[in-house]
This record gives sequence, structure tokens and C-alpha cells, in this order.
Amino acid sequence: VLTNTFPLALFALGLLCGLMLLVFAKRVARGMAERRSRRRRVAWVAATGSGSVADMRMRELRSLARDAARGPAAQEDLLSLLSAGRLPPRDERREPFQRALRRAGFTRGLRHAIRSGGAAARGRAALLWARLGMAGAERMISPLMTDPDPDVRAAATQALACCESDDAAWTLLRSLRDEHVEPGRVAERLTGAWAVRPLLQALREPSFAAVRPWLAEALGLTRDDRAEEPLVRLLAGGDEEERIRAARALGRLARSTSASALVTALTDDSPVVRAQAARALTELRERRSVPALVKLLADDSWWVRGRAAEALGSLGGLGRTALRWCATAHPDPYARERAAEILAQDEDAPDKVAVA
Amino acid sequence: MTGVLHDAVLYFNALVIVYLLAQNANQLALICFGWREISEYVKRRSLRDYVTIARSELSVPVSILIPAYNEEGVILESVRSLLKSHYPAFEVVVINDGSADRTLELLADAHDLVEDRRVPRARLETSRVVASYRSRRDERLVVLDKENGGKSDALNAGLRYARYPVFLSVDADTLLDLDALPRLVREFQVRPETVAVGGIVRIANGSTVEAGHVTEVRTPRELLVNLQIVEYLRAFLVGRTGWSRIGALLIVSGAFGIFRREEVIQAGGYDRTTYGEDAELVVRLHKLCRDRGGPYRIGFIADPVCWTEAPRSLGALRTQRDRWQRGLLDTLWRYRGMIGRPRYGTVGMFGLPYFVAFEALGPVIEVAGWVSIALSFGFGWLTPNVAIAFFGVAVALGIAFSFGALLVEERAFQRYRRWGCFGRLVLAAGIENLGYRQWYALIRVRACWSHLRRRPQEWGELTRSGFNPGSVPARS
Repeated sequence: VLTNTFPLALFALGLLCGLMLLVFAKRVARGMAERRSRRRRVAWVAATGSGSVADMRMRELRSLARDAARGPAAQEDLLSLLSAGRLPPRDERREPFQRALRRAGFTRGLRHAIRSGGAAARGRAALLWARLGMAGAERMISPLMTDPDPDVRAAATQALACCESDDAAWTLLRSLRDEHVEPGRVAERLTGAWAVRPLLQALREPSFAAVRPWLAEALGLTRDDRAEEPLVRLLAGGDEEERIRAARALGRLARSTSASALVTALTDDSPVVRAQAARALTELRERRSVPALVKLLADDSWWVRGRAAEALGSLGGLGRTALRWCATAHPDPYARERAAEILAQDEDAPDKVAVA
Repeated sequence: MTGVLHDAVLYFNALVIVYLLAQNANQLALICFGWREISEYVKRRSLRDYVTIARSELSVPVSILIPAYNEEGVILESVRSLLKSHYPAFEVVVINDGSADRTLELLADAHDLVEDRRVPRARLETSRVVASYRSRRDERLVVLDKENGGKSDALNAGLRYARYPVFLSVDADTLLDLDALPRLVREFQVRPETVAVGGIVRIANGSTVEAGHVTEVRTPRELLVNLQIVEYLRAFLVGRTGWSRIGALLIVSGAFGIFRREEVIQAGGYDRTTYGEDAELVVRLHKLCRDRGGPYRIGFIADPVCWTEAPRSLGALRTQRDRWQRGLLDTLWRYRGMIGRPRYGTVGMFGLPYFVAFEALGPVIEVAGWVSIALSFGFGWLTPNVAIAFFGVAVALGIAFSFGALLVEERAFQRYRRWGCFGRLVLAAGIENLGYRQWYALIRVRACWSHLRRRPQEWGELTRSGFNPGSVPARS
């Protein structure tokens, strides 16, 4: 078995040399691709011009668009410029810019890519379509919200949020309802003023009842005043999960007019709602809530007592007085510990640690 | 008698060749899986919106746990690097595991620590936590001072006091890339069944570090460190990526791994009786998740980078590798019941058998193979050209796989931009198999022997020069 293996060793050494050459070749090729990519990005910006339509180099634009329609590397370059906000132009050049892309077959290429087998190609096409601000983006992208690949669904979610339109918001809301995307990922995209109206409407519709907690969460993230009233209603009359999210959202809105609703929620049957209401009051810094929070320090749930202590800690003098009493005299040891923990975070707390 | 020995040695040689072929076939398969996984990752890079994760109020908050034992040389730089991470909600929990040096003192001075009374949030057995401190300058920094109990004990103490649902364990001698956290957390957000994710650990020796971050990646002049850089690239870019691809990842590095806190607490936290606590925890999580049923994922992604300081001396490296090998053997022995059982999926059918055959027994067979070939050559049972050919093939395949790792690196990341640095790595990939690999096999055989004899393990003192040598304040 072991005889005549010398040629094999020679073959292995040859293979090795080949592999080493391949490593170096890859490095050189990568360097060249990077330089090409840099040149292409500069060319896009130069061809788009800097002020008027007259500055635009349409032929060059069409040539770049043809490149981008064909190759993933060129699409990546364009996408990086779009993400950085350097394209598309936001003035009178926008329309001719988009027309140049259409004439070069770029939109046809994207349409084809969205229906293609490659997950990366589908996701990239969705992002390009949305970031370029091309018409009909919502219609093109919405089928991707049910894509089997999670990366493509995430890219489609991101792309729809870029559209900032009613249609995009409704597509996102429907995929939230139909559980195509993780709810938190949709909620964090629906944070602009453009999303408030569809969110409020969805909150009223029975078909969206199952996802009302996430609608409340998203409304809180918009920080829009129009959200306050429906959230207060949800806090008063929703189911447990809805009340929890409504309390959190009201905390994010941080409007003093919602303080009384939150103070009422401190007596909610659910400990999680009580804890979230206490946390929301931390954001409001509403002194009227001190008596209710002090009462909450004797809550059955250690978590609620902890949140109440934190809320009191954020309320300044009156809150801290209550905490001092709690740290020394409260019958519950955990409440004493939590109060002491919060008090220790005060600037007047024990001196800087001395290490031997 | 000589005839029996002759036959035995030649049959053993044949066995070694078959073993070598099987091992290399496995390596080749791993390179293919790794290449595919990395290629897919690179293609999808532009789809991933890390900026939103780094800003969103709905991003999962993370507790970063840093166990520290006598880390005065590096702790300040590490904490500084972590606190600058681009992420909306995280805390850094340093667990001072009874250090005899000025670890705690330096932290107290630099971060203006004050004692607080943090309440534990989980029940796990640990050595006594003497005190907890928080920083007046940055409320995200928490320091626990505890009695010495080892790394697992320190991590368990950190787990008890950590507040957030996901925790990242990092070594004290590591620096994180600024956007490492969003990259790791994305895995939990996009695939909610994820239980643990490992990121790549790279070697920072020789690189330029400014304000707690690696600003220019370079390789040092020391051959030993360059050899380790190639080893790390092979282990992470080829090995772990490949295992992750087939769902049989057995190690999420203790130096850089992110976990769902609740799952780890349910599993009982880190095991305090093993030195391979990272592998042990991951295999235990696999077992628990498989026993429980339902989808779960323990994966690896090659983009979030954690930089570490590699040992510069053979003695320190030997101690480190001895610990790794014994930790691995311990884990494999504990979970021997999972091997070959289809209910444990790819972990039981591929991952664990591979580790037994090629990681635990590999060095023993390799060393025995060298001895056997040398004996055959000495007794004249093997002609010189065959012995040379055998040696040549073994070395050439080893070098080829290291080149494979460099190829993956060039395909995906190209972190080593300077040709000089890259040349050093190519050179190291060549030299690695001419002496270093054999030395490493001997170290692992010795570790196996010590493990069998149940000799007590030592962590050993790794002399750290710090990421910026001379940055440690003088003792006052």
C-alpha cells in the first residue's frame, strides 16, 4: 500500500502551490474589485450632477444603470450610496434620474430580481426599489413579506419603512397581523408620523384585535400626541397584554395629561400592568403619583415593588423621603432592599469605594 | 517476534493513512460548508440593517459579563472599549474574582465606583459576592467583587446580578468592534429560536489600538503569534462556520459568546467543575433543547469581531492549550450518552463523533503515527521515498487547509490590508506544519494523559502586556 506514493506527494505539493497562487489571486482580484467599486460610486455622484438638470450626464447615468441592472456588485454600490443619502437627488433632477434608470432597463432588472431564486438578489432589489423612491414600490415589495427566507422578510420590512406611505404602513400592519415578521421588528419600523394614521385606524379595526398590544407599542414609539387618547382608552379597557403595552407607550409619550390614567393603572389586577404603569410614571416625573407609588411599595409582587421604588427615586425630594422610610421601616425585606438600592444610587450615597 | 512487530507497525501505518484520509475528508467538507456559509453571509451583508438595531428602543437589552482575575493590565482598556459599543441598552458587569492585583482598585479610580446594593435576580450557587459597585461616571458599568471561585463561578455570579434577558460573556483581555452587539443581537431578533451565538475571536497582537478599539489590523513580527492567527482563522472561519451550517456547533467561545439568559439559568448556569465551561455549556444547551423538543438554534456568525491578546511564549501557550484539551475531553466524557443517538440530531450523529475521533483521539493517533513511521523507516521496513511521501502528503494537506482558511478570509473580510502582514500569514501557514503542529499534538497528548491521571488543572498566569503596552498606571 505504501509503495509508489512519491508521485502522490508531488501532486500534493503541486496542489499546494496552486492553492497559494489562488489565495494571492483572490487578494488581487478583491483589491481590483474594491477600486472598481470606488470608481463606480464616484461616477454615480458625478453623473447625477450637483444642482440642475443641465448638470446631469444622462448617457453616463444610463450606462451605470445598465451595469447595476446586471451585476450584484454594481447594485451593492448603488445601495450604499442610497443608504448614505447621497442618491437619489431630492430636487428637480429626481424625475430625469428615475427616467434614466427606467430607460436603461434597471427597473425591469429589479422586477426580475424580486422574482428570482436568490434570496440576496430579492432582498437587494426590494431595498433598491424603495430607496430609489420608484413608483409602485409597495406593490412590488409586499409579496416579499411572506418570503420563506427571514433575511428577505427583514429587508422587505426595512424597504417598506423607507417608502413612508400609507400603503407601506398597511402592508407592514397586515404582515404584523398575519405573523409574517417578528412583531417587534415591524413595530420599530412604524415610528414616523406617516405611520400614525394607519396605526390609529388599525387599533379601531376588529381584524387587528390580536395585535393591538404591538400597535400600542408602535404608537408609543411615534411619540405623536394623537396617540395619547386611544392609548389611555386601551389602558383602561384593554386585555392584560394591551394594558401592559399601553402603559409602556404612555411612558414613552411622557405627557403629564396621562398621569391620572397611569395612577389608576397602579391598582390594576395584573402585577405586570402595575409595574409598567410605575415605570411609565418614572418617565413622567409626576409628583402627584407619590402617594400611589408609596402604597405600591407594599405590593404582593417583588417586581412591582422594585418598579415603584425606581419611580419614587426619580421623583426627587418627596419620593426619596418615602424611600428612606421604606428602607428602614417597611415590613417586607425585599422592599427594604430595593429602596436601599435605589437610595444608594443617589449622589449623597456612601462614599467612593476604598479598596485596600 | 520481529515479524509480528513488522506486521503490526505496517498495519498501523496503513491505519494511520486511512485515518489521515478520513480526517482530511472531514476538513474538506468543513471548508466547503464554511465557504458556502460565508459566501451566503457576504452576499446578504447589504440586507442587514444594523443601524436600526443600534438605535431601536425595542432592541433586546444585553448584559455584558466580564470575569476578571488579576487583569490589571487590560481591564481598563476592555471596559472602555465595551462602554463605547454602538447599542441602545446594555450594561457592563465586571466580576472581580478575588483578584490579588489592582484590578478592582484601577476600576474604582478610573470609573469612580460607589458601592450600591444590587439585588440578585437569579438563584445560582456561587462563592460569596462581597460587594457590588456602580460607576458614577457611567451608570451602565457595574462591578461585582467576589471571593475567588474560578471563571465559571464568576460568570454565574454575573448571571445572578445581570438584569437583561440576553447576556454576552467576554474575557477581560478582549476588545469588541463598535458594532459587534447589533450584529450579534440581530440573530436573536430575526430568528427568535436562537439560544446562543458565537462571534469570531481575532488576535490583536501587533494591531494598532486607539481609545479601546482596533483601528489598524496588523500582524506582529513574532512567529508564534502569527501561527496562532492562522490557527484562529482556520478554527473560526472554517471550523465553526461549517459546524454552524449543519447545526452541530459544539463550542461558543467563552471569550465571545452571547446567550439567552433564561435558558442558561434553566440549564443551571456554568459548570464550576470543568475548565472547558464554554463547550460544556453549549453541549448541555444542545441536550436540553433536544430533550425538550421544538426548534432551537445555536449558531456562529463570522462578522462581529472580538479582539484578544494571544500568548507570546511557548509556556503560556502550552498552559492555555492544555486547559482547552482537558476541557474538551471532560465535556466529551460527560455527554458520551449523546454520541451516535439520532434524537440528538447532527450534534449526536456528526459533531460529537467528530470531536471524539479527531479532536480527542486525533493527537494521540497523530503522534503514534509519526513514531510508527519513524520506526518503520529506522528498521528499514519503509523505503525513504515512501516515508518522505507520507510526511509530504501530511504536511501538504495541513498547509492546504490553512490556505483554505486564508482564502475564506480574503473572500469575506480581508482584514489584513497590508501585503507585508498578509505575507507573514502565508508564511506562517506554511511553517505551521513543520514543527508547530507536531509540538501542539504532543501538548494535547500530554493533556490527555494528565486528564486520564486526573492531575489537578491550573489556569496558569498569562502575562499580559496590554493592548497598549505601558498603559497600566504605575502602582502608587
